[in-house]
Amino acid sequence: MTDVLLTIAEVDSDAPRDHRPSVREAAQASYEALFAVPADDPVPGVDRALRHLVAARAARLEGDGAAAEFYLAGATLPGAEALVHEGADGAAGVASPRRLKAALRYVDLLVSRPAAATADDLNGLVAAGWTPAEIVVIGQIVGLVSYQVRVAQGLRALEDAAGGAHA
Amino acid sequence: MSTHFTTAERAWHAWIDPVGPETGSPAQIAAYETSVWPDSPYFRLLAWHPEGLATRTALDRAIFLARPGIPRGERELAATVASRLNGCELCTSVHSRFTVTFTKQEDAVARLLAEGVEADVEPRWRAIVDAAAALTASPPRFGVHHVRALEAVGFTSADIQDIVESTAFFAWANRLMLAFGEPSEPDAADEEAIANQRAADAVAVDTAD
Repeated sequence: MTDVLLTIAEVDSDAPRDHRPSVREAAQASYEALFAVPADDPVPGVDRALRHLVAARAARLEGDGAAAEFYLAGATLPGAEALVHEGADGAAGVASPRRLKAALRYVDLLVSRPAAATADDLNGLVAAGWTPAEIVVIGQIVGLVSYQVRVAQGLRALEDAAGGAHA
Repeated sequence: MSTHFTTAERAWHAWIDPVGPETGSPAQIAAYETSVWPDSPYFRLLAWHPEGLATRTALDRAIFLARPGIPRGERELAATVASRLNGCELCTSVHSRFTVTFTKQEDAVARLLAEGVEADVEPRWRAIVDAAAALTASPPRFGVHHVRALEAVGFTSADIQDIVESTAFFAWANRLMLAFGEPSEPDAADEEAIANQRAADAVAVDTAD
């Protein structure tokens, strides 16, 4: 599988990662664990399309257009683009089922104001129909994307500093 | 002065049910038993998706424990800055203790916790703190000027990548810790969890060069 960070960063080279291949491999494995959803995945209630939607929304809020576009391509559900752009409060979000809306609202909280999260926010997710296992998967995806967009930005800045021009 | 951020030990309680020895699948139990703090409520919660936890544990260890790379204390400094800015009391407590252990810079760490990332620190730390702070912002604001400032105090592009990885991993860790539960001063009921964390952290210290 193509290295996801190299894809998102849109750099010609990730040579700054060469000295520690274990980090590069573990970052890729973390991505595959959450997105290459196997038939026996223990948390099937968050399906492949929804995982990509959550990731695309997180990437969009983090201001990373390349990452948002990458994940949106896997978010094969109706209205995905509008949901990624406008979140739970946009027209598409408001018209969505409660369960989806609650998940999108949680993504926004987790990306933008994580220290404001309380037990009541998790209670809201549970009331909307999400299980603890599903909530953990949604949180892990937001966390992974928050990691990826920062590593991608670092690689872009290093390439710019070296005089290269990323795509 | 801050009464919130401290190098003192903190307990953590989950807001939703973690996996336990009675309820977990063999894969879930294996994932938390091989995590950074075996049996802790935090990693037992993440064990709901065992592959997600196991791969994340491998990434954590690769970034913070593996050689070569910048000194462990400077990786921990970047993690402390991210945690302080994101407002994660427990992550700040753990990683500021590691920073002190590895750098012996107890006063500088105390200033960072009490005063925030604008606190006075020596030039090499200033460059790390500024870079980690910019990268922690959401959206992140790390740019070529941060690279230049890091280069000016002697870091190579491989070193800078280490600072980026250490900071970025805590964008992830802080969000999970903040979103799934809350820290507290440890009481008698937390004794076992704290002893467990302490033992695991001591191993992580010995693992470093």
